[in-house]
Amino acid sequence: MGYSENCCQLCAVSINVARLRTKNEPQSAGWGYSSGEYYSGDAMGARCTTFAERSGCENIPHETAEWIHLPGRWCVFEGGYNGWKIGAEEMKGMNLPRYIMRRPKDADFDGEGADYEEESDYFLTSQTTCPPDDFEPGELEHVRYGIDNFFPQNYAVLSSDDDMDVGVPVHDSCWKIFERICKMRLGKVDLQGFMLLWFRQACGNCGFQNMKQEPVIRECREQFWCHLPGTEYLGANPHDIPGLLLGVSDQYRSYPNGDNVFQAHQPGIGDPSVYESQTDPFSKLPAELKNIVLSYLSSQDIARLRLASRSFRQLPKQLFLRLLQDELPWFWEFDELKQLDDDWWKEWFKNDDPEKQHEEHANRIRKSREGNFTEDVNWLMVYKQLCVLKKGVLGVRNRARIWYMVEEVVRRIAELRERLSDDSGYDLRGRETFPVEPTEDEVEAGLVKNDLYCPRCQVFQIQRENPT
Amino acid sequence: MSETKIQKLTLVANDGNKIEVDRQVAEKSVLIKNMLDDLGDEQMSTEVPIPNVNDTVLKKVIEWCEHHKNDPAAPQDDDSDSRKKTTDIDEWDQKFMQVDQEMLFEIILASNYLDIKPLLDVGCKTVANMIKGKSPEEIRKTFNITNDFTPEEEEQIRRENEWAEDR
Repeated sequence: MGYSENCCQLCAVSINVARLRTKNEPQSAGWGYSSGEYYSGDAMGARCTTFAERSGCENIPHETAEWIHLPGRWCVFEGGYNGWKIGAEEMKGMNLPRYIMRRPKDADFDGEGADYEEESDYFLTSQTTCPPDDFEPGELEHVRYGIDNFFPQNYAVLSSDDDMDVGVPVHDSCWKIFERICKMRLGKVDLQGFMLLWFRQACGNCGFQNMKQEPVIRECREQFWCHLPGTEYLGANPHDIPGLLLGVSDQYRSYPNGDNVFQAHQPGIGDPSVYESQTDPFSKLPAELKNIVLSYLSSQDIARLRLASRSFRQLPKQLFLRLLQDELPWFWEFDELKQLDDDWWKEWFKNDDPEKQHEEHANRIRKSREGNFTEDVNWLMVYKQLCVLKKGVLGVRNRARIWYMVEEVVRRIAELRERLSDDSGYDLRGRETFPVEPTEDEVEAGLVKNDLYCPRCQVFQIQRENPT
Repeated sequence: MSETKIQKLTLVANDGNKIEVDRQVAEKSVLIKNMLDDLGDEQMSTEVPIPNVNDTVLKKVIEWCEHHKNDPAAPQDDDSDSRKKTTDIDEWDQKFMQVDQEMLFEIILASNYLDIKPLLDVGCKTVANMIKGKSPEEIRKTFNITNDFTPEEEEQIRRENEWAEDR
């Protein structure tokens, strides 16, 4: 990360992502360094200005900034994400961080934050109302514990003896994902554990030491975030994704009828025309036992098994709900999806009178009014559509990326607590408050690596030195 | 309730062979346990016919029940941890399951019939572990399955399988 900007400790993308509004949008739809005044890359020197006919870009004079760069469809100016490629509402809140800060030593929990703060020495500030600027954290929407001025940092530059408080920046949306995964994996949100990890493994570039962040993030990291064309998804809000539910709701269907996902000519049971393999031991197993075997397998294993045994031509719908939860764990809006479906059918049938319809249709109309309309959902269709959205909807793509990063962070927190418990001889697994900062023993043992770079994101090639 | 509870039962396999077992061991089978509970000890003859299981398989199943007779009963709620299903099997069970393929499937069917859920799970996990990470050809070899798909069928299966590759 350049020295002027901080990144979200969880997703490693700059807090200062900018957006270039299109000429049809109001000024509020554009923000960031879109004028050349501060940003090191001037739009007037960008190739899309020179080749305006190809890019469709325009530069219009402006009173305060020298120029405003209005992007065309094929803009390549790196000072902001192209408004034609990513909507303002898709990027909502991604430049307004929250900070994790130490509570003043003598202050009790003020009851304003999440419950889990009470057990920790730390708290989360509100979101800011403006993006951070240089070393300023940005105005806080709501000040707690009287703290409104502090030093945003992705790694520990200052020692704890300094007067200035340090705030660890995170996207509000990324933190919500952290909360969710923490609850899933550890049973509670481990804020203290997050800071334990930060003091021992923070990396100013990729969040935590040797995180496998997407390589392109390194390319985008200049003094100011370099908004490379094609990386718009990195600036998309991963938590609140406009279009996610609508995008999948049409595939929330029961078709085909019954318990299975594939449409088949289903001859009666015991029908001698059904070819049965004589050598296949799975043909001896009733469906519910085959389903138990399937419940232990991944999508890939199941796909290969289907090419080996004809006993698995058909697959149950419920299996795909399990596969979806295991393999696309970043989708959690099951209740909202169901609600949207129910709302749609209610609307669809709202003017129909069941008394004037034939029986089957009348039942559907009545059901639409009760809710719980679509039964036996074919989860394979939902699974497939989510995979499509992951490729095509920027926020979904970003959510899937961040989910796995945060899973890794949570895994490390659990591991660290284990180690600290063993080393200290105390059982710290359950205890919330104990000194977060590393002990001298840990430092001497080389267990503390908190730096601007980690070996994985070091800019210069590391070379072995000749022994002297 | 009778004070003198029956302590030994005789299970009769489908080929007529009789096997004597401790009641505690036999009650690992929910089928047998429910039968004893329903009938009550007085009316219970100590011979219990197991018509769906042959002698060899029954002996094997009893061996498992003997070893696990002191295990605590598994909690009933199936949903609780379904997200974290692993295929880890404890060492003794792994060795126990090192049997030929026919026997493995017989154990699974018998544990299902006798309603011994933990044994059924171990059996199904063992089968799942034999499938994991293998190519279709390797799976067929493992389970001695002859490839009898027509080219058209196989092509269709590959098409249906696209969900698994396209992520």
